Amino acid sequence: MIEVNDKKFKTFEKTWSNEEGIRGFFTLVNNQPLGKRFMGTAMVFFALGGILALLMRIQLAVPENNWLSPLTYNQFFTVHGSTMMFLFAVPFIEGLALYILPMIIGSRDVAFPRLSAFSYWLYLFGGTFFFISFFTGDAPDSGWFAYTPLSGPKYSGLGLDFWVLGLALVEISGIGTGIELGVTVLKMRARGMSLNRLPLFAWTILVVSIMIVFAFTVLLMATTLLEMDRMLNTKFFNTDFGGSSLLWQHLFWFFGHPEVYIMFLPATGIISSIVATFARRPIKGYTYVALAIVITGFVSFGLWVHHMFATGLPELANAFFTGASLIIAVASGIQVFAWIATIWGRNPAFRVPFLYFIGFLVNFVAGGVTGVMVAVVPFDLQVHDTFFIVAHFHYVLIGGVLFPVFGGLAYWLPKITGKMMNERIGKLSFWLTFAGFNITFFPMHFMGFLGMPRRIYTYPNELGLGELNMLSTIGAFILGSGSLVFFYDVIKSLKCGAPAGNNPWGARSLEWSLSSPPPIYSFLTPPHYQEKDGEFDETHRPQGIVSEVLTAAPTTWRATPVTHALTAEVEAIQWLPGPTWLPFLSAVVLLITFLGMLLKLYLLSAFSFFIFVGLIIQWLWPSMSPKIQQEALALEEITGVTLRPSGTKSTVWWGMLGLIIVLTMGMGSLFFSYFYLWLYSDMWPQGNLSVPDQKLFLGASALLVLSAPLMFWIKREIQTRKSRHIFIAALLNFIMVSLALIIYTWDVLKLPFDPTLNAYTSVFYSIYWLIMGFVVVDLGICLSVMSRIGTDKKIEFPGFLLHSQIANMFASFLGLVAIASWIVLYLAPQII
Amino acid sequence: MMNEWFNFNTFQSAWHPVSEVASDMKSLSWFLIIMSTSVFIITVLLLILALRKKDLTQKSFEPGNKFILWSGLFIPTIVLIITLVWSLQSSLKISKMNQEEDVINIQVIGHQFWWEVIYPDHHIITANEIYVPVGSNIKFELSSQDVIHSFWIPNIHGKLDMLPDHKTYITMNIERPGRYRGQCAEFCGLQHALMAFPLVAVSENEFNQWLARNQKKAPLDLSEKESRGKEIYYRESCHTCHAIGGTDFKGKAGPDLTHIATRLTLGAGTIENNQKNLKQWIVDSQSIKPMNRMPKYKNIPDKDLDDLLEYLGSLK
Repeated sequence: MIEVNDKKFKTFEKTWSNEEGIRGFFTLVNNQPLGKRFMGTAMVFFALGGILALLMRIQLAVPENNWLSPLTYNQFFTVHGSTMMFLFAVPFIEGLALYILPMIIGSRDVAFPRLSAFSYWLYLFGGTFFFISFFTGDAPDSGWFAYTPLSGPKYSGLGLDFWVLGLALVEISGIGTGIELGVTVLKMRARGMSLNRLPLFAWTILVVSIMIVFAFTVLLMATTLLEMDRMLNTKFFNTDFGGSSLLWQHLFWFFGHPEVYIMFLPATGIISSIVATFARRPIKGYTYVALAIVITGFVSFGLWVHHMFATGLPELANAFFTGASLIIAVASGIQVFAWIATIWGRNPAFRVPFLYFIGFLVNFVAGGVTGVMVAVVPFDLQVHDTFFIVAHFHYVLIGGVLFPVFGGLAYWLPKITGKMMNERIGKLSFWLTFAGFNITFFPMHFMGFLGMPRRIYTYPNELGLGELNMLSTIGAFILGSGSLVFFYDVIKSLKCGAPAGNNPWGARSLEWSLSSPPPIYSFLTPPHYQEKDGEFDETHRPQGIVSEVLTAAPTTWRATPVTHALTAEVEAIQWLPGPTWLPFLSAVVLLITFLGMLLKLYLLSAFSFFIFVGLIIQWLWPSMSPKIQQEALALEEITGVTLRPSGTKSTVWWGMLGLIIVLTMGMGSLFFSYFYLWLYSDMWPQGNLSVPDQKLFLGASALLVLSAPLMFWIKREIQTRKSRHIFIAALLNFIMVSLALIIYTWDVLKLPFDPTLNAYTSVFYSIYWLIMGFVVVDLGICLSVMSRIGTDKKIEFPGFLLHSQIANMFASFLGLVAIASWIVLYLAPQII
Repeated sequence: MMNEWFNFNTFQSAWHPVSEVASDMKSLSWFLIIMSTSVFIITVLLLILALRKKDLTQKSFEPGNKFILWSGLFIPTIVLIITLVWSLQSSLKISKMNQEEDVINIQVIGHQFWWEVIYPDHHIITANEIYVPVGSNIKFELSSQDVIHSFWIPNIHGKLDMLPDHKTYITMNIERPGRYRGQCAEFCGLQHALMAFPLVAVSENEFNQWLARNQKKAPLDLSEKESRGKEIYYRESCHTCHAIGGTDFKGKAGPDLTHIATRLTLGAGTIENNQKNLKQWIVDSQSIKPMNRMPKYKNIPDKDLDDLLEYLGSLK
């Protein structure tokens, strides 16, 4: 251990602590309290969703029951599904990762602490917003899948607006957390934890974070289009005006299928952690398992049509998606047998986390094989939208996700709280959950075969399914009591649990080297990951200069080392932000923006959105006091490691990459919609329109295309510190981009049709609006580069080079988008 | 035995096929069930073997990469390829059926929350029940008037969605006469649960009789009571939603009532069609099928109601 004197330690600790009292509650940005909040809030939503499930089971216990009205029942299953998917499973996993991931990979915090705070507030607000609909009597009732046209303006009410807007906040939160966790795994790992030594939990989080960025963006775009149909009267899904009834399903399931793996993969990561610990050895076939995780993530984007086998798509498409669905079964199989091989003959202790592993394996394999069954088209045509499907996906989601979540809680709670859970109560809760779950859902397989459709609030007596349904309802209450006992155990452990000690399970991954609960900065000394037999070895840890210098340091600001994405060699030291109001305030004004939309107070929305933009600018503004800058320079000198990283060494660069993927997927979803609508239209453009004159669009786009190399030149000049003309170049660039925006605006104002005319004009305008939105962002970036050139040139925190790289990335992206949009909007209809 | 315990239905069940396609689907299901159950049992057995108490000092079988690859990759791949081949074969058979040319055409249009049934070649419009002859190919042209519905008669065939923007087609051939229950299988709004219909498969002969009977328009020679009933039908604005062939009543929002007296069910398969139920349906259909689109008619005087029922009873 490196000796730390008391005074230095105290200031270090103070730097990492939150502010006092209620103020601290809103301003903290540390991963640990935020992770706990995510998990706690998710558990509250889980309880609410569970209560709804029990109420539905009461209704279905006997045939021809009319205890709940059809409206209430429909609201219940809509909110139950949406809650479990959007407000429980994903946020809980994000919270767990936020809390435990930095400790597993040896970082003091995540890559963008303010973003975690912002994501948490958005999630809390979005979820609450969504649930408020119950109190106004307008709970959504179109199912968690919200199929159009049922969810469109003609067939549904205010409830759907609650659904779309509430979930949009949660989706933004999810995307934020996704980028954050992905960059954290890539860049914040301990020195020596190269990618081929990455713990499997971190592997799953890495893959899932990338999946979130791709999938959630498409959902966000789809819900935006739906809300535009509802609010602005566009025609994407309006079949009377050239819209499509199935476009929504394609977009939704492009998100919806990966969503399942976004929940499931981290669950396997939890399981791998538990299995390795209880088998007292690393997971066998590590490489295969890691590969299986990556393949699962990748292939899951090629499965969405297997939710749509009954929509009458071409045979060939169905066959392809059956094949893809079977591939993913193999990837899951590899994981299952790797776990079995790992515990083979290791006499594991049957403690609560391990019991949940066994429960998980049994239930998940059952859910997996029924998954293979429903991938077979003719079989699916019978069981699709029946209780067989209900059984299948609850086996996957409860068996495959909830069991690992409970197991993971039982496993890591001692680390989080420092208290052990009661073993006997834990075992009781496990057996109640396991038995209750199977009694509830196993009979549903038969019910599906025997003609019980999903989403029905009642069924005729003659269907003869009363007994099975009653059994299922009894099981549901046993399952519910299992969760209740589990919660009781958690709360009891907080009050009177035995002290856990650092490492109650004899585990050998990094987080267990910390005290329980860990200090808020997790690692006093940034660890050097060294492994023996594939696991972190505590006995032997030479530290290296960076670890030495950063032990209880820097004292007045937060920092953690950043390492190479593959080799995990130290590349830089990352400044991390301290307490701030910005995330909370930004989330509040965004909430007000959405509330304004719901209440049709558009001025309020516009006003609060402007404040939001202002807050974001404030957020991104480089803000380091001169004192900190000096300390940073000193640190650079001692360690020889930069504090002003640029390019791939900087977390910001990777974050920007994530953002660009988000924007690409956003635009991509619009392009997809455009071509999909075209495919199912008799003529394109629809309604005897002709493609508008392209001159202005082409001109503005050309300006954007030219701006990209100019920005590249500026970046290079800054890098080589050669030129004195960069200010003029930046000014020229700014003028070009402004001009492009002006031309676009002019052109869009004089387009010969309205966005509400038909689906073609709706998608045309949407692409146009989105590219204009991008140009506005680019304008802001250009302006910031210019002002930076004008002001300080000497000390650069964060580096000016990085700043120009970001600008360069965005300019290139925008140039490409401009070309692509021109091809899609103007060229394609002429040549095809 | 199971059936006795649980009194399972046979009229809306994929487990009691009455067509070749449904039988194929059932055999495929058996294959899948046996395969899945074997995979499940083998995996759980391996898990149990793995968990057995072992003397760690003894040397014994130690699964490694080979074990993982064989049980997780190679064997599953073989099983899945067999599954895929069987699946494709079965799919091909279904799509071949759709190419049959010698067919009886029936259009089914989904509405919230009932089924409009049209026999275009025979000029018959009916609702909420389908008569078909046994042994002939029946080609259904499916579409929707509003939201997405799904057409599903498990004893005969898997389901196919009914879309508002383009038509979908499904061909069926029923082998055994009988009454089978079909039900909407895509969530379509408030009363999705009670949107069903009987499909009646009869002999060629009976079917022709049914066609002849249903091609007739409503009778014009009405008794006095029936005439009064017809006036009440008009007075109470029944005609704005319900058409009756051969009259001026042309409403399109609800089911066609030209042959209401011979329908098997009311409220799209919700209750049996008899005088008593029909009366209750008219007075307060909302108590039978809440949130359906038909308003309550609680203020029709009893005598008028009787006349109305008399008139409807004449629509055979």
